[in-house]
Amino acid sequence: MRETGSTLRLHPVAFPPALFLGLVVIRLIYLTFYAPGEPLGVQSLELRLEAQRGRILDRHGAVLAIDAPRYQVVLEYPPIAYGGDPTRRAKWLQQVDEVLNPLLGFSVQEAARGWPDTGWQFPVARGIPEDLARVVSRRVGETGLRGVRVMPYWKRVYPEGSLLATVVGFVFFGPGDQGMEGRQGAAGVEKAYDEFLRGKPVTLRVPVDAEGRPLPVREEALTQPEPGGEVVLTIDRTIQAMVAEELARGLQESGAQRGDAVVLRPRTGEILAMVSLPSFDPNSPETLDRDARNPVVQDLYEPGSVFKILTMAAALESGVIRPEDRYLDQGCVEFGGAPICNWDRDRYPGGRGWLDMTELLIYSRNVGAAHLARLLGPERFYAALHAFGIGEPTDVDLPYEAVMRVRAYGDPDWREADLGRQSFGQAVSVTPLQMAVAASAVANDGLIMRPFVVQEVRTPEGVKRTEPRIRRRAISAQTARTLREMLAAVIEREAVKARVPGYRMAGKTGTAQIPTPLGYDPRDTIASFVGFGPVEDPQVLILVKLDRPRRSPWGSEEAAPVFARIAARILPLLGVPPSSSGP
Amino acid sequence: MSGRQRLLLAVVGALLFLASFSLLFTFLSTTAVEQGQIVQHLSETRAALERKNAAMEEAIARESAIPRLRERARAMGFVPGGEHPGLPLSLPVTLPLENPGP
Repeated sequence: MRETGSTLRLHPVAFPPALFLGLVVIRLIYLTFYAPGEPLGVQSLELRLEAQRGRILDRHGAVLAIDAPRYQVVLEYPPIAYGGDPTRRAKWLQQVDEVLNPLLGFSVQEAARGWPDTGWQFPVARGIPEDLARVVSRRVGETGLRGVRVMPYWKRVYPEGSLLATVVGFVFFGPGDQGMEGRQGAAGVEKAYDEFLRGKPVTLRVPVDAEGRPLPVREEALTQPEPGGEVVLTIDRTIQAMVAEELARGLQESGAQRGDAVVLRPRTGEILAMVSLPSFDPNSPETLDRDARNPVVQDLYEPGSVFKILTMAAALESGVIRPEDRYLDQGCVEFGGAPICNWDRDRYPGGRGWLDMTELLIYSRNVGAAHLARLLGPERFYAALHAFGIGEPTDVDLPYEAVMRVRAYGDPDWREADLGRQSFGQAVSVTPLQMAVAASAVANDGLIMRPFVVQEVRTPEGVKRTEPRIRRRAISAQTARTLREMLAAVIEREAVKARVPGYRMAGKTGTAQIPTPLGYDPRDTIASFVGFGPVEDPQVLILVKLDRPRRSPWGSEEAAPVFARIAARILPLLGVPPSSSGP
Repeated sequence: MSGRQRLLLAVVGALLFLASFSLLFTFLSTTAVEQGQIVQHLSETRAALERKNAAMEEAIARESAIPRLRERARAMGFVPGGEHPGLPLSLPVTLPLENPGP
């Protein structure tokens, strides 16, 4: 016992090595079980791998937005590796410049001037093509240059340029909803469907070797980001291009400052084209200033005479008039203490005499619209506007839809004169899309559909289709059919420039004054036309709006021909047979 | 066998055991590293192929974009239908009278 005890007794000389070995064992146990990601004190690097953003396609599969690879040269200067000495970094930058300057064609030292001392990574060149990226990578390898890395990244590309910019939108780099930096949808479909498009990026904390390269010691280091889903639009890019072409021609011929056009299927609410000119190029971020928006959804205007469609629909629906009823058009009337006059009071100072309801629309009588509003009374009139969705969003699947409250009966700021003016489209503001959707009820037997631009979202979880959805019934099918015939007469008897060879179309002109803080602009107008066809089975509805035309202020002169040219081109493309009784 | 020989044998046996264990450990570690490198290489290859694929899709999309198609059509001599004055007939045509007189 004494002998055994003596062998186990630790000699004082052996104590320091035993303590050292014990500490080593404790450290190894810690590194093995508690800190496996940081073996032996190797530096770790936080890498955020951006997911490939999903494509946006038109209804026939044409690519409208895609993530394409680009390359960047990144300089890395870990202060721990160089002792945080600025002179050493300057010397190193000089070496980098000698190697990269001939390849990149610019001074790396100059480019790196904005690099803060505390930052350890700096992208010195972005957007370089793959072949140059390979050359740089090879040269860096040959020279043994440290701290230069060629890295791929995803760049959002819009092959159609400005053609679909307002609908598709664009992305920007910045913090998202959860505070993580990355690319976020900023406008259009990119914004509205961001959660499907963006995919799932990966943030890794991986150990790096002495050169700063990630070590594949953990399974997570091989994790790849999950690409985003695909979004298929209802937009037909061919129709979009045709509409853009005709709208551009309309702007050029009329001298208008800008214009909008929207084409939709009234039966389903699918939007086939949505154009605003001038547009912007989403491929050039420097041009994405405050004009990078979608005016069809975001801009309000007073619609003017196209609004008479709704007033007439309300009057027919409520039964206060029939199409053959007549009224005496006297040129001007007093309504709620304010005068209301026809647009052609200079030519017809005493009015056009007795007119029936179709002629009221044909000659676009402001006095006639006020007459209908008086017959309806404010309660029925505003109920009808509500039924048509005026003063509320259309629920279109695009962001930032503008809405303006309608000053209505019962509101403290409402005056009786408002009713008279609203009957022919003044003192009420809508977006072009809201006006088009309201008018589409006439084309769709009285039903208002929810407008939409995305027909399908494809994700790994499956395909989600957007089904057409009825929002409400605005008028009866009978009233809609009656009004369709009346609006067909507008084109057949007066707005002849809206005629479409081979097709019987219906529509209404609009010439709206532009409100300013000092009253209505005495000189400029907004010329518009909303129409649909063929009358017997409406397949498309087209709204054209030209702001401040110079050649003629009238919708019948400037917007109507644009409508006709668009319809003439797209109806055959959609396979719509000509009308049997068309012109 | 003497006690000294038994001790020597035990030491040799222990050393052999440790050596074989070390060899096995080294082999497994090397295999794991090799497999890891292969997987990483495959992962990088896949990522590179995905980038190439995306680049090709971009090139196709650019070439088939409407502005590009329009430009190429113009270069090939096509004009929009409305801008063309119409094709002349190669032969003079005499149309019969609809209501020839007596």
